[in-house]
This record gives sequence, C-alpha cells and structure tokens, in this order.
Amino acid sequence: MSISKAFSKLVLLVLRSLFLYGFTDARRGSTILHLVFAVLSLYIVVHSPLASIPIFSMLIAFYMVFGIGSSLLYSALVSSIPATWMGLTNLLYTWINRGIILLTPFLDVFIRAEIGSIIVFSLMQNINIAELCYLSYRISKTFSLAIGYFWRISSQILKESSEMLYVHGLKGESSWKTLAMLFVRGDEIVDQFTEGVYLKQFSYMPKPIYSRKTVLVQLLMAISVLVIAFLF
Amino acid sequence: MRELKALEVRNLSVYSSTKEILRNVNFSLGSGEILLVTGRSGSGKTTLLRSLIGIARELYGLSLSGSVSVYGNKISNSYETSKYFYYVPQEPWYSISFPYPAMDILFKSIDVDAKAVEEMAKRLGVGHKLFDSSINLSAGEAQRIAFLEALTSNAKIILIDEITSYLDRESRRQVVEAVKLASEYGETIVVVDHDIFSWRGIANKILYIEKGIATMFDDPVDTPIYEDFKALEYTIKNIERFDASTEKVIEVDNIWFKYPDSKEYILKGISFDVFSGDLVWVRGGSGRGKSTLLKILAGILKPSRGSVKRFVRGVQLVSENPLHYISNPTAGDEIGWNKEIAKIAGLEDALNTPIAFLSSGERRRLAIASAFIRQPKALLIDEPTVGLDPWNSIAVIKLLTMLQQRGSAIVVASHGEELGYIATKTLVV
Repeated sequence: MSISKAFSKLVLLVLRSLFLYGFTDARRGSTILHLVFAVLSLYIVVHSPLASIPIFSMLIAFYMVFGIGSSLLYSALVSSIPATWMGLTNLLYTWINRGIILLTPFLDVFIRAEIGSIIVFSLMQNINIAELCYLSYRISKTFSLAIGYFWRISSQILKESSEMLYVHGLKGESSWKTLAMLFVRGDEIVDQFTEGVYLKQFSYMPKPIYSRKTVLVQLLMAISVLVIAFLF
Repeated sequence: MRELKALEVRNLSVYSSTKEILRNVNFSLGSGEILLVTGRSGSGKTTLLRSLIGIARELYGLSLSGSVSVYGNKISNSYETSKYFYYVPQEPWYSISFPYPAMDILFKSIDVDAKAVEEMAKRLGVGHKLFDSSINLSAGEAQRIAFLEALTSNAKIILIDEITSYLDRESRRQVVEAVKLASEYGETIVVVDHDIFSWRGIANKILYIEKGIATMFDDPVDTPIYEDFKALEYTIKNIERFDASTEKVIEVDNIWFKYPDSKEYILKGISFDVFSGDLVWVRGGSGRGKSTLLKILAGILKPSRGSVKRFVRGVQLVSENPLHYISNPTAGDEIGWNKEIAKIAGLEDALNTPIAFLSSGERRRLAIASAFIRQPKALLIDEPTVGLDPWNSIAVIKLLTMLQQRGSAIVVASHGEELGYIATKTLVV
C-alpha cells in the first residue's frame, strides 16, 4: 500500500471517529453536564487507572443506549495509536534503566492514555452543537457562527483529504504533490463555503435543541462520576 | 399606477480587472415569475447571480455598473440583498453551513414551521436526511436540501445555480414541480440550468447569455443552446461504438454495502464483470449508491459482504469533485502540455491557468483529459458530464470513447442520458 493510501485510511479513521453519526439524541444533552462528566472523568483516570473500569463501562452504556456504538469503536481505535506508543516508550524506558521488562507500567500508561483519549473523543462526538451555538451567540454572533462552521468545514476537509489522498495514490502521484493540492483544495473549500453562507450570516439565529432523555442520562452519569471521585 | 416589479435589472455590466464579463444586462421579473438563465459554460451566468446579490463586488472584487432593484428599492450591498434574496451556489454542499442540515433550516431569525418543513422535505425526497451528517449527503440530496432551505427562508427571490445538474430524471421532475409550486405562492425564482427541456412551459422568461451578452427569449428551444443539444444528439447517435474484449479487468461478486452509521444496506447483491474496452454505465436515483459503488471498485471502501477482484494494476478514479484527481499546479502541467488533447477537451486557452482559477466545467474536462493521457487499464468516473453544456459534453463523450477504443475499461456513474448511447453495459442501482 502506498504512503498516500495509508494516510487516506488513517484520515478516514479519524473522520469516522469524530463525525460518524448525524444529529442523534446523544447530541441533544446539556453541554455543562457533559463537561462536568468529562473533566471529572479525566481527573479520575489520570490519578487512578483502576477507576477507568467503571468510567469506561458508563461510556459503553451511554453509546449503547443511544445506538452509536460504532463511534466508540472508531475512537478507541484512533486512541490506541498514541496510547500504544506511550505505553511502549514507558516499557523501553524501564527496560533501559532497570534492565527488566515490566508489563504493569506499560498497562498503567496505556490505560490512562486510551481511556483519557476516549473521554475527549466522547466530548467531541456528543457535545450539543446547537446549544453551544446558542450560548455563544449571547457572547458574539461571529463566535457562534464560527463554532458551526468549524464543525462543518473540518469534517468536509477531512472527508475530501481522505478521498484525494487515495485517488492520488491510485494515480501514482508522489505524496508531496498531494499535500500541495490539499492546501489548494482547503483554501478553495473555505472560499466556497464563504460564498454559500455569505447571505445567511445576516439572518442567523441559533436555537437550542434538547432531548429530556439525554439530559437525564447525562445527569445520572455526572452524579455517578462524582461518587467514583469520592471513592477513589 | 405602474405595478412594482419584484426584480428589475437595468444596464448591469460587470468587469474584472482584465475583461468585461457581462455587458448591459436588462430584464425584469414580476412577483411569482420564473426566469431560466442559460448559455454555454463560462458565458457569465454565475457572475450574473453573484452580481444580483452583491457578492461579485464584495467577495470577488469585480466592478459593477447599472442597477438592481427589488420591489422598487435599489439595492447596493449584500446586507440589503439578504432581506430579499436566497442564493444556492453551483456546488450545493457549500450552502449547507452546519454539520447537520436541520440546523441550517432552523437557525434563522424567522419562525420556521417544523411541520411544513418536514412536509416539503418529504415532497423533495429528503425527509430522512435532515438530521444526517452534512458530509454524508450525496450531491443530489445536498441540492434538494439547499432548495428546501430556500423555500423555508421567507426570501422573496430565490436564485439557484445549476439547479438540476446533479439530479436524476425523477428528482429533477420533483424539483421543477416544487419551483412551480413556489412561484404559484408568489416566490420569484431565477434558475441557472443547461437542461432547457425541463423548464419548457414552466419558466416565464429565458435569458440566454453568450460571451457576456444577454438576450431574452420566450421559449427555451429558440435559444442557440438548443442547436448545441441537437449537435450533441447527432454526435452521440453517430459516434462509433466499440465492443469489449474478453480480457476481464474487474469482477464484482454479490457485493453488499452499508455505511458504519447506518443499519440499512445502500448496495444489495451487486454482481457484474468489467472487460477491457467496456464502458459500463451505472445509473440510478440520487443517493442510491452510485458513487459508493465506484469507491468500492477503487478500493476506498470495503464491501460489507461479497468481493471485488481487480485483475490489473492501474485502476484510477475521477471522483465527483474532479479536483481530487488533479495533481499539478496548471492545466498544462496536468496534461503534459499535450495540445491535441487540450483541443479535444476545449482547454487550449486554459493551459497556463492555475487550477484554482479554472471553472468547474474546465476542471471536469481537465481531469478526464489527464486520465486519458495516463491510459489507465480501468478508469472509474463519477458524473463526467454534470454541469457541462452540450458542447462540452460532446468533448467528454469523445474522450471517453477514444479511451475505450484504446482498450481501457471504463465505469461511469452518471445521470446523463447521453451515456446510454455509448455504453456497452448498463447497471441500475
């Protein structure tokens, strides 16, 4: 497989780990509750890898309840790349310094990196963009617009990059040429969106969209993570 | 007292720093009238729309003279135009500005009747797509969602560039009917389209633009583009057809495919073989999986079930966006400065042009010309004639048959009926 095709697959994996599903119920919760869960979970995981087990279980339950399990799978796959790297580096460090191969420090680092990364992915995958746009609109209209556009444009650029890398790989082009064309295309995507949304900016008015079920599930998760924080 | 026109354009001329793009355009439209703007690629149709809403000056730095009035009010900037106009650009994806189309429709300063939106979405065949991810929309779906947004925007005048280019015959009929219905409710609509036949008897006025000069007609078949269509028909009916050889290039065996976010299969039990010299036409409605099938043949996507065997190296894909294929800074570099091919593709004058400045039609022709020069064993092409006028479609058809003649296997996913004349096989998905 050529470098371009390998990169294409990697970009597709990142795209799916971040932007796989549509505006599902999982995205209609409270941003504040979601942030509370994510920050506390990260704090716990960093301090106690053992506590990752109940937190990861909660995340699995959340993804199952909302029928978006594939997102978790893709984010776990992407997270495993840096987590494995960090774990192996730790393994190498202990081997060089102490002359022995210890699995425990490897697992300790791997689990923290893997679960921590999944928690961050979960925040990106399930944050309520409608609410985020609505809240930020109160601070600045431009800021609010930028949030929506960021999500839209970044997903579009990732999707097109993956395709372009693969098509150039089939064509047998060198990676540097593809990289140059990716810049041209990125620039053009921004220009085309600018034209498409130019008039819309004047009538823009975001509205929050919620699901009671999601808020309730998030509330339960936030309370649970608080209890875990006290226990560990 | 004279009735106020919904839209009145007087002596509109548009200039770039080097040339005149439109010269003294004049027309007026009453409330509920439909104007069809047609003409060859590069004649100035898109520039006209951009000029009406002020972005020609504000975004593209063009100079304008003349006037544009809406219900008697002269408008001079995009803020003023935003009160009256809704604009859908040529590439429909880019008018969907949020990650989910529903947000585009709901996030407005006006109250949106959710039930009416749902009803209209169903009528346009995109009711199930409103809460999907915007990146997963097919071109035809994006086009219809952009139109749906226009209808629910409260705009008095809707401008749509290449309104039916990405649509199959049935979706096209739905959109034309929806435009007609909107006009009956008093909406004034300006559409840019090469497909003059869909608008015959629907559009009240036809503005034909050639090299920046606009002429008004009552019937689309009176416009010079009708002659181009006749030439296209004549060419494709008389084009030499070739038979495929017995050398198998791709074998598709009972493939099924569903996207990871979906429970439903978009492709179900597709089987076919592609031989050297074959030209397989993949047809079917918008969003039925034509592009997905090409991506599976190319190896970008893996089938959920079944298998694809490629018996040759050198399978290439020209995707819906031709820029994904192009890999050089200028048109000349891309086709190795081959003037003969440039002539067939109608790119003689664009060889020194940087890719970023080529029109959408020029890029499409360039990508196919570039693939022609590379002579791949198998070429997969998505929508090669979309958005092209008949004259440019002839150029593309000629290149495809020449490539076929040289032994390449070609698989084309397209709504273009003209492919039916040159295809050796047709696959309906």
